[in-house]
Amino acid sequence: MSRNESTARLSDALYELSLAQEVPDAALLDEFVRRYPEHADDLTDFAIMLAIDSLREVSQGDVPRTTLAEDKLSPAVSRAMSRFYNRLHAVQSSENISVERGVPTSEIPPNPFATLDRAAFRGMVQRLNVNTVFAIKLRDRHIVPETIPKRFTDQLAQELKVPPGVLMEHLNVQGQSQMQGQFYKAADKPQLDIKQTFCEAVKSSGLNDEQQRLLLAM
Amino acid sequence: MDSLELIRDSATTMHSMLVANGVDPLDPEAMVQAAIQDLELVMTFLPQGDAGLKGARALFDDQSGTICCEITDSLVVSSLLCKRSS
Repeated sequence: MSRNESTARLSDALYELSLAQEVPDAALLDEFVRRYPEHADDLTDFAIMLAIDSLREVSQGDVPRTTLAEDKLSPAVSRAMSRFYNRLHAVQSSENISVERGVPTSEIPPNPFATLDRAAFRGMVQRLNVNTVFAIKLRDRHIVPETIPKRFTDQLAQELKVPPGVLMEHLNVQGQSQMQGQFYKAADKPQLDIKQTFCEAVKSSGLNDEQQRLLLAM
Repeated sequence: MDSLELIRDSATTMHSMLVANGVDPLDPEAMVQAAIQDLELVMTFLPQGDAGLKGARALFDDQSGTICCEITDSLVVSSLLCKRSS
């Protein structure tokens, strides 16, 4: 195999790995290392990078482990697995130590929306009697926090199971939130700094008349 | 392997499945609506420049499973924007 072919094959493997699963686990890496044994190191590094990225979003979350038929692993696959878990353990440990010592892992407060999966996000939307567009604007800090009624932020904090202060801290961060998993069809780079008042957001998010009336009465 | 091949494959599979279920392949709006329903997504049209679009013409938000699409006069353009962002 020529060098160019090998590079193209690695590129394909990395791309396929990134699409296969949001957060790669040991079983997935195992499958890819078996398919592309010549790129075991690169695939392992890439899987670690993806897993670390996801850890930043879901801070302190447990990394899913998959049961493996350990006795069937080749030495190369075992080494890759071992490196994968060792590195993740090191990153998680260092973050836990930072939190225990009161040292913030980042200046940006945790995003209280980040741990919600799609069902939980939609459940929250339904219980708040809003729609997903309005909730996205809240999550991504497109609504000026000072214009949001306290009654609404209290309800939202309750739904997110965080103290109102934590929610307000998230909403008041300067700069916009960039959630993972947003795909754009645009001529230019995304504009994340567009702001609306609560009232404007209520009127422009496709909420029905009754929803708008209830929100504006808060 | 073309790196977009996986995406093309899944789009082709869905297209075939929808057509087999009776959706008119020559009606782009019907195809988009059927695909959105099949994938259990939500589609919302927003005014051009709305904060929810973040400067884009269409946007797919994975966490909520929502497609936000710019309001246009052309049905074909709207359908294309929705298809390309989902």
